[in-house]
This record gives sequence, structure tokens and C-alpha cells, in this order.
Amino acid sequence: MRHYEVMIVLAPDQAEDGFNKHLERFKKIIEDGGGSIVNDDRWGIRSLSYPIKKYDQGFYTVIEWESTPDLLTELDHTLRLDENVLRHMVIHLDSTALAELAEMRAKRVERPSEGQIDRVDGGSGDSDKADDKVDETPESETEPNAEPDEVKPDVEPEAEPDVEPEAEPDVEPETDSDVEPEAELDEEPEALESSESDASEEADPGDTGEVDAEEAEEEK
Amino acid sequence: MRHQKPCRFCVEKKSWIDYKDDRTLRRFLTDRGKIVSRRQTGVCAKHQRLLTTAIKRARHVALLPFTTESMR
Repeated sequence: MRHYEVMIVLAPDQAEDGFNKHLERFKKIIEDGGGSIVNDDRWGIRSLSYPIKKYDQGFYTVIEWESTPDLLTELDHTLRLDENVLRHMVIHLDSTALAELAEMRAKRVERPSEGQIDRVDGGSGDSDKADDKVDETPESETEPNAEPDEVKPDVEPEAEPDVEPEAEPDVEPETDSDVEPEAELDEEPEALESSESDASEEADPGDTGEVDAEEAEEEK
Repeated sequence: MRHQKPCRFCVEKKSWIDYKDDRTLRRFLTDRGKIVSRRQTGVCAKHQRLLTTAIKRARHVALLPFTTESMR
């Protein structure tokens, strides 16, 4: 038995039970293939970092299960053919990953308020084209040995990935007081239109890297 | 010479970096969406490798951007 996890991003424009209907179908494939579902985590609608098939948002779900590898092909096939699936990614969770996840969950219980998951964002939706070319993700090249095989089947739209500069990418790890201030990013953040409506401003204490972005935002 | 601070993932004793944790991963992206070199972040080689995979996975499912270039 191996432990897997699949992240599914569904098109957001459907009724609540529409999501359910699709996900139940995928879960049935897993169960029919002899898998037992360990966890089904519905994140809800979340904004995408770049438009996919002209959508700016997607309904995120993470399903974890245990099974033999046999059913992966079928699951992948179904996900790939389903028009409503914007993205999917199956990952094999090895023992290190499982241990880490368990630990993270334990911590999460201690501090319940976590992440802005259901935020809605009024980003500009001008993606000219989202094509359906099949493309391999470059993941395998950088695969570290700690994480053995992984199944990453997907359709990669290589339309120019528009992006909203939401949470400021601060360079410095917060625990790091010793890092050179060169780590500061002084590239100019252009295109801030959509970031204004963004609810994801995190004011991290001890951040120097994000000052630039914030100032620019106020000017607007 | 300055004393090298240990990598933050080493401090947290991480053996795996979750691609779903986009808030943490974002710290290691420039405002253009590029992955920041470990020279600047102080991450050790082992964790930079794990981090890179996590970021690339997150990009694939649109949790993180590939680039911000085409924004306008």
C-alpha cells in the first residue's frame, strides 16, 4: 500500500453540489480501485496565481488515500479528460512526507486560525488565450532523493501565465536576523492593479524585503 | 567574517517541504516570482532542493506564480 495525495482544481462556475458531484466521481474511482480515502480536504474557492482557461479562481480540493499504484492511470485519465478540472496533481507521499504532514497538522490544532483560503479577489481577467497543449512539468529534474516517485500528470496551459502579485514575497526567512540586507528586492513591482483588492497582506514583523512593494502600493 | 546562521528549515527540522504551504513558499520568491538564491536566503543545499520542488509543484497548481511579467 502506498500513500498518495491528489490536488484537484475545479472550474469555479458551478453550483455547490456540482463540485461534490465531480469529486464523488473521482473518489469512487479510488475506492473501486481498492483504495481507502484517508482525508478529503475541501479548500473552497481560491484565486489562482495565473489564469487557467480564462478562470481567475478555482475550487481547490486535496484528497489523500492509500492504495496500490494500479488505479493511478485510470484516475489520471479521468481527471485529464474532465473539462471541469483545471489542474490536477498526484503526489506519492513517502514516509518522510507523511511524518512532516502529521507534525504540521498537530501544530495546526494548537493555533487554529490559519491561512486565507477562501478569499475572493477581483483580479483582472484578461487572459487572451489558454490553450490545451499537453506539456510535461519540469518537476522531475529537480526531484530530490528524499521524495521518490511521484506522478505528475497534467495538462499544462502554456499561455502566458498572468499573475497577481498578492502576498509580498519577502526574501528573508523570519528567523534570520543575520542575513545580509542585500536580500532586499528592489525590482519595481509593476501592475499593482489587482493587488489592491487583495486581502492577503501580511504584515510580518521583521521584514525588510517587502517595504518596497508596500510603498508602491500606497502611491497608487 | 560573519557567523553563518543555520538554515530556517534546519532549525525547524524539516525533512519535507509542503507545496501546499504557499505562504511560506512565497518568502522564497522575488516579487517577480523567481526563486531566490540560497546565497541570499541562507537556506542549506539540502533544503533548497526540497524547497525548489515544493515551489515548482505549487506553481503547477497555480498556488504560486511562474512570473509576473505578463501582468498589466
